[in-house]
Amino acid sequence: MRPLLMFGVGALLLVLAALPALAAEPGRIVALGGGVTATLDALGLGGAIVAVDASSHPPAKNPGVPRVGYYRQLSAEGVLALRPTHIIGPVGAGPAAAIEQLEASGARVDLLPPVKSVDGARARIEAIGRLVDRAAQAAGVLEAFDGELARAKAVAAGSGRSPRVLFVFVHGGASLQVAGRGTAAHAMVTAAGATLAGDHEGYRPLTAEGVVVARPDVILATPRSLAGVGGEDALWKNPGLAATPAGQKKRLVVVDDVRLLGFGPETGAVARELAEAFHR
Amino acid sequence: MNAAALPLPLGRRPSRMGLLAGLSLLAALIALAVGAFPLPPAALISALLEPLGIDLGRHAADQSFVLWHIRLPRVLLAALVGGALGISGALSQGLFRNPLAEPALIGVASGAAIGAASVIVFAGSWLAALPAWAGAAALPVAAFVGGGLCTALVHRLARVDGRTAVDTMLLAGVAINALGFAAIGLLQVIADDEQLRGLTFWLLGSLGGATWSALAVGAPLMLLVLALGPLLARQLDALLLGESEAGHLGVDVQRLERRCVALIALAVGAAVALCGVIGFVGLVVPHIARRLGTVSHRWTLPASALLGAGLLVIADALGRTLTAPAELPVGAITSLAGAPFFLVLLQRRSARR
Repeated sequence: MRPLLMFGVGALLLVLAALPALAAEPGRIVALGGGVTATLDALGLGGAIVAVDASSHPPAKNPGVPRVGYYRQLSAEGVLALRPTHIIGPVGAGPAAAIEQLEASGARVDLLPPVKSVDGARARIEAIGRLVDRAAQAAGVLEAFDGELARAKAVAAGSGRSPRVLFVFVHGGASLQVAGRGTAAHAMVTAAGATLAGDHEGYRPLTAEGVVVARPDVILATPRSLAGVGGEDALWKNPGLAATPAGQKKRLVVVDDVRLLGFGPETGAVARELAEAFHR
Repeated sequence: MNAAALPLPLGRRPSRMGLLAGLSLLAALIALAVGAFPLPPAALISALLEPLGIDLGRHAADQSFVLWHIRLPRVLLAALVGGALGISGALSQGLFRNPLAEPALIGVASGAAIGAASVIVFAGSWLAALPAWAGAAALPVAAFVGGGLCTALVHRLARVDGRTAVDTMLLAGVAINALGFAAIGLLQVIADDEQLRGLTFWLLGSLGGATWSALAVGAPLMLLVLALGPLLARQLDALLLGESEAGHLGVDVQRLERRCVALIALAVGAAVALCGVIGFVGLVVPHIARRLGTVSHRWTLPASALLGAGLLVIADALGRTLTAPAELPVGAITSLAGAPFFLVLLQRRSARR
């Protein structure tokens, strides 16, 4: 009897010791920011997301998920009404009073530093993996991520050129802006083995002469920006663009803004897609 | 006896004031009962009575949390800010003897907006170096100080031969406001995407910053104005007759003008610092108050405070519920509802003539 009992106790202890290694209950997550939401979705937690902010695409499994508005103008009560256990978003989520109230309610609030580079995207996927006890899945996502980045590099190296890419963007309903150094678009164009056509800091309004001087080979835009100027035909009618190599060959690449600028798990794949499109 | 001899509206004034106070209280209770978080009336009453030691046991802990830490401070802040803006509106229209005057005319709103916008656009880097509490206080302090400085500037510009000319002050206020919004336009050009959105939301106003600590800072300032404002009623009534006539009636017009400007700057400065720009309350509320009672400031000052409180509480309740779990900026609602209402008021006024 006694050896059997000891065996039983030992087995029980082993099971108990293994428990923390099993993935913990994900709970009810409010995801803020396109990159954070996409990362959680890629880690298999799309079903645990009970709300997203206005800048996120809803998780594939949960297309009707409620939206809590702009992540800097959250309604504490609105978020709490969804009975979240975990709120994950970028630093800057607010207002500060709402974050205080959410923390005081007992929900766990994790705010991550903003990401503006491909390396930052990797670090954030790892960090989120640890936060939600999905480190193994995060490692898997990163392996695919790195594979895509390597393919992007190979495509660029294969062509031996570094085409000049002009990224145009509509900022909050204003006029068409051109991305410069230090922007998210700069990081993505570089990851795709191309050169950003734009020698200024941040975003600047698009001027006809500035575009001619920038000599872009390809125009990169988001669907929303393209709709903002009235479609592809209207874009090529811009007097400056028509005089550039891109305008003469009508080379336009359109990528969804959350995928392109969100620095989520798809960033590697987007870099590879861009590399293939730019180096054609 | 005496009351019966007076014209009807004046004689019924106390009961009307009571009715208005009752309606504002009702608005506050309704606002406490609605919101994104489910809180049925039984749970609301149960949670409200809990701190008094009466345990009805009809509410959960999270419901009590939402009521006491989110909804109640918010409804109180809405009532205080609405009251402060309402009474400031009545004070402004009395001071300028112009029904189109609003508190912003003394420069306080545009000054506060410049202060807040500068913090939003420029302060990102060096605010991070400050301790968290100081970083959080920078925006309201800058807004309050900016409002005060700009008011002082308008006041100074209107001084001619040692006297403040009220009509010059009105024009100086218009000019300074134009300058202020040009400055904000320039800041918007410099701002990056996120700063721009922060600025836009701030200019639309929100009561989302309502916490007990925000109330502890803002409530004394606004309560002071709500208590002192009605004391100026008789002098403002005399001013309705004209500046020199008021002087003959023994009113120190210069002192009255200084006191009005100080009270408006204090009330609007505190309100804007905590909630951003909330439009139309200060302009429209005194008009409604006058239509409900008399043009005497003994009625319009307290009535505008009560009406402003009730209306802003309702507007905020709409903002919290219409798009839940997100929310609409309360300033957008007040302007959206206030502007057409004001037009209807004007139409009916000209139709009566």
